[in-house]
Amino acid sequence: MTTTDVPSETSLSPRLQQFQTEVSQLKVTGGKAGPERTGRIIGGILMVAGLVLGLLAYLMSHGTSDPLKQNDAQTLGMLAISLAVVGTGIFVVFSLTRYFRYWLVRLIFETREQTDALRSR
Amino acid sequence: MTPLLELRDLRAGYGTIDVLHGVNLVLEPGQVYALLGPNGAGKTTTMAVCSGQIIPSAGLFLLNGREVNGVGSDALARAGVCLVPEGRGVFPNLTVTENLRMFTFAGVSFSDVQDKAFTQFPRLRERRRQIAGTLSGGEQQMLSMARAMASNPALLLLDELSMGLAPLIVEDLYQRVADLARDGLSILIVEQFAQAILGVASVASIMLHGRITHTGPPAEIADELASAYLGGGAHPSPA
Repeated sequence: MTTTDVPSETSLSPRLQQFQTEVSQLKVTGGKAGPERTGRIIGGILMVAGLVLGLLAYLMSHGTSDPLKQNDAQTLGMLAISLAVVGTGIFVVFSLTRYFRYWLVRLIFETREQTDALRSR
Repeated sequence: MTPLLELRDLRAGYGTIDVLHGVNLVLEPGQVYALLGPNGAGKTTTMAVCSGQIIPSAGLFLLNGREVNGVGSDALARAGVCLVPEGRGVFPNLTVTENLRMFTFAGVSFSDVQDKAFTQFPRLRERRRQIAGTLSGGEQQMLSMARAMASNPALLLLDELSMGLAPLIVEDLYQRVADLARDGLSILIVEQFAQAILGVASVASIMLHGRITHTGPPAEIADELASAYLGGGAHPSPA
């Protein structure tokens, strides 16, 4: 066995040139792993925003005797509750997705290990 | 020259666990790159990223200078990236001939696939009606290699070719790899035991704990291996 030589730029084989063309035509999604992470962050932000808005609505309502402003505070409070509920939902869904993805990988790995063990007997 | 394959500060893993912590690797066209390391170093995960089975969580995966993060394994296989996975890269419940027929996915005719496979590995001709799962480990690896040879890839990824095989069979298989390399094929080889491939490779790296710690000519890396495996290789990558 001998150490192999690297060809120069000019001696690229037709197969390599074809490969370069095919790679340049690949549809790149720019995909990053961990969409769950992004989902969890968005869910977390919405939850916190809901809590802050709820507190703001309480302070707004508490600091005035004007019924119009109290109505505004109630509306803001409803929005805060909606944000917190939606944010919690998103957070839980993406957390579970992440967990189950890992669990599935683990399951596949263990099944393969068991098959290998059975085969080698 | 634009590298055929390049990984830049690549991070990837399984679910919540990151296995690769910033891998830098450059494979030039026509080069044979040996990636060595002990069990659990992240070699197979690197292969999974290079074949599109795992999407990197950070960093860049480049083919011919183009970022291909997120491109699926089927698209990469069609483009010419061929992975020979560790263990058995064959359909165990199909016969040898049926397996060879499955290798025509890249547009190569069945007769061509059969000719190449039986010329390179005459033993497969004798076993052509046998169920692949009942072949010996070496014969299954030959069948897997036959796919790599017949599908005319541009980039070949070999994951632990020697796993569970007798040294003579390993030597024979690596002789075929050397033949492929002489034809100008770019090859990334992952191995746990170095001696088998250092004679074939043009550049080698040691991977430990998800990072490449040493890169250099195979002879130089051979000297570093023992200390790296025994815990002395925690230096940062020069790349």
